[in-house]
Amino acid sequence: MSKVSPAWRVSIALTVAFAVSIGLCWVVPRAHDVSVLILLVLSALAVIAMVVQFRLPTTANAGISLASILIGAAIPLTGPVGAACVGVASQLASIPRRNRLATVFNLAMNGLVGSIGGLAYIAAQGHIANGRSLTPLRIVASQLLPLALATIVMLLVNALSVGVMIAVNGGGPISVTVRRLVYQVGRTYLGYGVVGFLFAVLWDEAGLGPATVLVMFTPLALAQWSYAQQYAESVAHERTVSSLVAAVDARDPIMRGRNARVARVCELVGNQLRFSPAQADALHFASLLHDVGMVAAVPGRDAEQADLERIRRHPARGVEMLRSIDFLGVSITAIRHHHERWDGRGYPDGLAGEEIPELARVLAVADTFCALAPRVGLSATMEELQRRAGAQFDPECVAALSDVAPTAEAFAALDAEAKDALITAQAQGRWLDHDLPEVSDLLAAEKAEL
Amino acid sequence: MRRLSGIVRLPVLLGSVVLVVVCVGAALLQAADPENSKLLVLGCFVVAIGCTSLLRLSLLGGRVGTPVAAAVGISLALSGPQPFSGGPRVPDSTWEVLATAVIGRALGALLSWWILNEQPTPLARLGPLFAVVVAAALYRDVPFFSGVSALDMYGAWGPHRWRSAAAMAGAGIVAGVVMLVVSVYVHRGGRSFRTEFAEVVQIQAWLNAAVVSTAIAIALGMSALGVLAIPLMSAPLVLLRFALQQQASVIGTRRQTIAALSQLTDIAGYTPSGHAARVAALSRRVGRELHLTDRELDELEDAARLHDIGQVSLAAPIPGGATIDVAPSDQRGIADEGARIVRRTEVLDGVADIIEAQVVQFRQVQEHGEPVPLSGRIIKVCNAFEDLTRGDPALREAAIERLTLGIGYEYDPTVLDLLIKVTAPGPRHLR
Repeated sequence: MSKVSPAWRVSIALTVAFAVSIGLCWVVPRAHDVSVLILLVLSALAVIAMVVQFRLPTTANAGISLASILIGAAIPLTGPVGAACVGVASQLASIPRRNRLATVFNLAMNGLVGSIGGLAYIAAQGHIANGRSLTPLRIVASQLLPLALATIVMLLVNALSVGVMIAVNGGGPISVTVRRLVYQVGRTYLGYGVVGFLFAVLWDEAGLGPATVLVMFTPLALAQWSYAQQYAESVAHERTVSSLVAAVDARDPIMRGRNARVARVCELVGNQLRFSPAQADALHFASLLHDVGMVAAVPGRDAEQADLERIRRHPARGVEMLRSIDFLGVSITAIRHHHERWDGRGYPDGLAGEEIPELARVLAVADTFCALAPRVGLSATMEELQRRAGAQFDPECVAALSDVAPTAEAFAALDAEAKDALITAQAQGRWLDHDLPEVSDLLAAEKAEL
Repeated sequence: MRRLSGIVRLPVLLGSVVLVVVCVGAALLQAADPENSKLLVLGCFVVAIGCTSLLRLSLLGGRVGTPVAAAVGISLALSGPQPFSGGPRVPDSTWEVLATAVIGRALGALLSWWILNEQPTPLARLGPLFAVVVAAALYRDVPFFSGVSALDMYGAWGPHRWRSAAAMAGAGIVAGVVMLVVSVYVHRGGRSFRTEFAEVVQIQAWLNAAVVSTAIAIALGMSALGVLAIPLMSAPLVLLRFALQQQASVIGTRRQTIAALSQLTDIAGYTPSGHAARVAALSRRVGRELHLTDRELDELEDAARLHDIGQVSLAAPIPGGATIDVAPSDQRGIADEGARIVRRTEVLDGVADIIEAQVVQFRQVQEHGEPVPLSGRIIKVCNAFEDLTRGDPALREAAIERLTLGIGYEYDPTVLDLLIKVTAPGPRHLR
């Protein structure tokens, strides 16, 4: 018999857990009263919400999950079994898009989120709707607070399932994934709990029934639209930066397309070092823009000296040019320090070791890698970097890069046009590549003389 | 990604804490003595309108509104039944609604002045108040249903609560239209009502729909949650407000980036320092005189900032960096290259079109009917003026004299007239 893969084992374990939790609902009093009308309406909505969501260009954590809100609303309205059904229904629309493993995993996980959330709600003395009227404070005590607790439990179930799945697929350890997910979506999840509660109050206590959907629809739909717009806008922003920078780079045959290649290698190393999304974003913009300061010509009689001066000044010039862009924040410090050396002999500030911002250390390694790899090949490049780990580079960054070296080489490879330009430039001998380690040594030696 | 904490400022946080504390306190008191809770409930509305006035939203080039305060105001007009069967209907008359809304708005104006340092703008605040009165009159006073108003039918519609919601929606939609019309009127500036309306109607209509549905949710929720409905039911709208505010700032960020990167040609030595920024500022002023919409003005400004980006394709910088003295075919080449670079971003096609059009002579517009965007003509004139003056007011007369020689042939006369007007010496000169 063929061996069952770990990912399948996780999915099957989740399915069993889901079945057990549903079984539990029949033992726990009040847990299996399901109102068919409410259930049908909420499930249908969940399916529609997911179909719409697939059409919007949002990432998982930049939008509002209407399905999560509906699961939250289902708990006080129809209890754990209903919530589980809504959870399962929310995944129906995506079955044709996923492989069998992902389908089983997502169905079981969302079902489990609903049923466990519902059971937590009941355990916290949550009140399940039956048309009885309560006083306002009773509603808060017996619905809002238990639902807040249930939301936290649901978040943990969700994060744990995803964390285990990522871990068995060779991703990061469970604790890292869970912490990252809780940090990223924790606040929005609590928001879903509140909105689910409002949904339930209007539906049941205010007696509005299915018309609740219409009342709650507009603000949520508009917020969803806004998040989609923001996502599109941030893509547009990235494109604007990269193409404007590329246009200017194109003048220098050695630097043509370099920033884009460095950006891809940085992303790889950043993933390896488990950067948060905010850090990864900052690193991305820093790597695209780190050499803008190079465009400034420095006047001087001696061309070679002028060129060295230009290289020495470019981090500070770059910062000067970009300072007015608010969002760059951390990226700016990375740009300023991307030529610092681990041994403190770099420029412009001569920082050493941990004083150098982490993003700048990654940028330094990726920069040199992209300059060397197309010239001398992968193994010689890695040898050189290893030799300089602890002297020019942060050893941790070099180690992270060497773990992904073959992929990084593919990212750093030149296209035909850039290769021609490089060959011509080398033949002319007129252009100095400031990212080569020799240049860093040269400047470090000059500095020592002063 | 930008995190919420960066946008939530202290006064906003303080305002929401005050609102929640007041409402929870009032809910406890209301539960203790439902009979005499009228002032309590109305007081909560006043505090709510006041505090939420601090939650401002600026959309589409700085049209400021207070969507959450507007929603609480309209919900006041639609409220009545309270959760305790013995207690009175609060508010009980349109006069109470109006008085509460006015006091709430006054408190809001006071808080905005005190905390946000904002000058009161009475006209802008009248719109939402007027909307409240309209909604209150329609929902509470007009006997649409067998001789009584929708509010009076509330009890009878118990099993069909959706009818109350529909009646509220009817009154709310009229109120929303009133708000829209007043806000367009207040913010139209020098533009015609129709232009301004066309620019904002789409987003503003959706936003007002969200405001009205939140008002309905508060009013209906109040029959179950009492005053707690005010902070709780407005939560989705608060969420929306943050999403929209963040969207506005993301768009602002991109324009900021363009402004910073457009200096690349300056710093690389292709153009005189500050040239692009001065052309952009001048173009914007001329564009404003021509009553372009905010969106068109932004696009014009971006195009003006990037109008020389095509020069990076040149092997060596033009001496002095001024395109005005370059042969027309070379000008065309630079503009086309610039448009090509900008088009590669895939999101600035409008800007690329303008950059392309900046070299077309005005005579081609007249003789051959070549469709040249107005923005392209503006940049052509402003760029030529800037090439000749380099931001030096003393050179203005000579520059205008030279541009006037090309009037009608090279330059659009209307644009040139406006350029002369906005650069005229005086307190605003070349600012």
